[in-house]
Amino acid sequence: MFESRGRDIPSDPMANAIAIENLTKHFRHVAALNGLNMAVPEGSIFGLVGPNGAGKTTAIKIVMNILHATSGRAQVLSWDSRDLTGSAFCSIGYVSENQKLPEWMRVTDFLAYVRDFYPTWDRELENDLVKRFDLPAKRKLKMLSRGMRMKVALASSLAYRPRLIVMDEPFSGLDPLVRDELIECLLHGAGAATVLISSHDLAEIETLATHIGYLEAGQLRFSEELTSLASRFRQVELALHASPLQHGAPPESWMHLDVSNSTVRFIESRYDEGRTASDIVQVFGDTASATYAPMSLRSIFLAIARDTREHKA
Amino acid sequence: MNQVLHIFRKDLRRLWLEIIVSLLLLFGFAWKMPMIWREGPNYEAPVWRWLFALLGISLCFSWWFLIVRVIQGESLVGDRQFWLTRPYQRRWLIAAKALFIIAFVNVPVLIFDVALLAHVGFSPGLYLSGLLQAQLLLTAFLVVPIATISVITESPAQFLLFLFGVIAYISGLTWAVAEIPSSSVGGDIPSAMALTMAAATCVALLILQYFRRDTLVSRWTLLVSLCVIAIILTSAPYGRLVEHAYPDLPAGSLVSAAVKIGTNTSAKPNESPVIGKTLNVYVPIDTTGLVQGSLVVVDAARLTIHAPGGLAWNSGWVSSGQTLWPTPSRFTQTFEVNSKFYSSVAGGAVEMRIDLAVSEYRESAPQQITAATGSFKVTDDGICTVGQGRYGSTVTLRCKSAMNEPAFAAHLDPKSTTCTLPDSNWPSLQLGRNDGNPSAEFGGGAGLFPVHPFEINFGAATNPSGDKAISIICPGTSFSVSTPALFGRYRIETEIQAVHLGSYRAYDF
Repeated sequence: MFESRGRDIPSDPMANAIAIENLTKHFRHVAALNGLNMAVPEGSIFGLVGPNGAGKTTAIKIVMNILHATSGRAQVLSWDSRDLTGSAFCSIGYVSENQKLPEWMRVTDFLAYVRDFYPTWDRELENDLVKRFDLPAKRKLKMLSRGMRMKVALASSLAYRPRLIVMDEPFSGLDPLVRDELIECLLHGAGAATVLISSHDLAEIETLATHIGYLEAGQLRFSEELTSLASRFRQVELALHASPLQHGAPPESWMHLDVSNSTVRFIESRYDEGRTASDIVQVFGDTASATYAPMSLRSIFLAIARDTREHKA
Repeated sequence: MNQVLHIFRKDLRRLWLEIIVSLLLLFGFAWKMPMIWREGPNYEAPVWRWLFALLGISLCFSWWFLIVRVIQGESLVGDRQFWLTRPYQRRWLIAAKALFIIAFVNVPVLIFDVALLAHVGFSPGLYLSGLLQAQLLLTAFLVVPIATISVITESPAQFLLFLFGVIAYISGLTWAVAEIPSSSVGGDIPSAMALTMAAATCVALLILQYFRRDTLVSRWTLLVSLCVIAIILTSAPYGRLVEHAYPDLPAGSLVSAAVKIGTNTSAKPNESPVIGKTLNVYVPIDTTGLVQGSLVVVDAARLTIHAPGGLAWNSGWVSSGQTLWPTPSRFTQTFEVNSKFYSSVAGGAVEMRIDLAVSEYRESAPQQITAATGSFKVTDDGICTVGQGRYGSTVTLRCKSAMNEPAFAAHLDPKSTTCTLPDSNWPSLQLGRNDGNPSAEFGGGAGLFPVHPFEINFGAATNPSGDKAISIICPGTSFSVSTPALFGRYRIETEIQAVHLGSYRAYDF
């Protein structure tokens, strides 16, 4: 399920393409970001996930210097995000679901127009991307479907081989075929670039991310490598010898504990074969059998979201 | 610099249609421009005049649309524009937009100005400073305000909404300021302050938006600036400013003895019922004794009425514009009097005092001009032809000047006429003079009107044996022209005791 992306991620933990410190953003009285701290390691494909209104888009827009933070700071490559302007964007590609493109331009005109801004523009890569995406060169952008427009935006953001690619909900509203094409081209065109991608589409994120960050209520709940996340979450099912009249207090790492008759189900968020088995014995005593099933990113995300809601309630 | 041209070319490709429309409208405007110089038999039909006005409005609208579209092509409002995360250098972006506006608004207007000057017979090379001034006015009063609103709005529709707000603000402020006594006269300094504030705000907003792109701060800045302008204009001490600009006339001046309120002894007091909040009184003012070679423009007048029992009222300073010449004459100044006050004092005698704020000019650099067939030059500033006055009985020179309306004082001695007069006893002519406004030292019209038509009227020249107008300026007739130079600004006063206010009141029709 969680595979290695074959990426060469620097072992130096300080080598972050993006480092966010205590970022807050208030829209009037609403706090969209509430002291966000986050780091995107260089060379990683960092999936930023979280429920609606978590602050993903706000965080990305501040990182891209599109919005100004209320307080805190973000370092992007070697720039403070507030200084991110002009030639700094030669190293950064940004694609957003609701980006306004110059719709009066034809596809070729648009690519030709943006091409001149980038000294590192790779015509071969541009042609390759146009071919891969099957972009209609002579059609105006306003005549393109949403998926096609995303492809044009992505092609125009990959062709100069940026060091950092930031994508805000790129798969939103696209059909599965287009999503696959986008992911394929992203992986093909991004090379060794760091990718920060926010998405609701957890299945897609799962296929390409090396790291994952979970944002909720303007704060980062966790951020780690996807393989590590996958290894610490397990869907646990126990068969007890008898229905327990009472049991010990479960550890904090257990989520959604459900005991019905002699069957117990829960999600372990800090799975370790030995420690988890020992915790089970402490809470329920001997068990007839125990299964530890790996979880998909979607299941993990849902479990965390539900857990948060239960805690709030 | 490459980026400037790159963005410029993109805007050119995008807005070619708007550019063509704007240039065609300007061409049409230039083509029909000469019709506004024509009078008399060549007078254009009203429908053409109406269409010409429509053309002018359309031209301004096309410039507005062009400027808004080119600036909002890289909109500075919102957070979804693709260009925000592209390597645009902001200084090159602003330079590209400026280059576009210069290329398709300023330069065409400059060409239009030069072409019209040449068409009329002026040498454009002699009017470089005027042409530059016209460009600055066009930029300051059209381009910069439109550009400023464009950078804090996202679309032409939002611009219009914003514009309506600004128009409402200006209307409200104008109405409020008009209610303040003397504001129509003493507004030079407050207006200059308000204009400076507005210009500084425009520049600040352009810089703020292009280099910081903080729309909220920009809009607040604009709002605060508008409030400050409103405070400046509504709290200015207009009366004191007039008195400061026009100090008391030094003792012994010739002007001081020259003005007095005329008595309306022959007029029957108007005793009809008072209707409305105000009524008009017409005060005749006699002038005598101005030194030869001088002329005085009454810039403003103030009427103060004192009635028995300590009742008093004054009109504040009101605009006048009357020109006084050395020959004795009488002019009438109109004042709006508060109806309640009038009713309370109408029954008895009152004391009226008039203060005049005047500018005195002395004629300088006199030149003798000889009229020629067709057009002839009047100094370097005017090209004139002889014509009949608007109402047929005045002798008029129809002139055109380049860039600004010049100030002339012209004198014609009828005895020097070379015209054949129908009656040897005629004329018992009086000395002619022009009614040009000598204070019009600067009147260039924002680049739209490089050629200014104006008239020099020499008064009535009617054959006493009939009302048929006759020419007294023919080829070979000489007259003198001089330039009025400002000699000083003064305040003079005159008063009259024990008069009945009803004798000065206008009749309601």
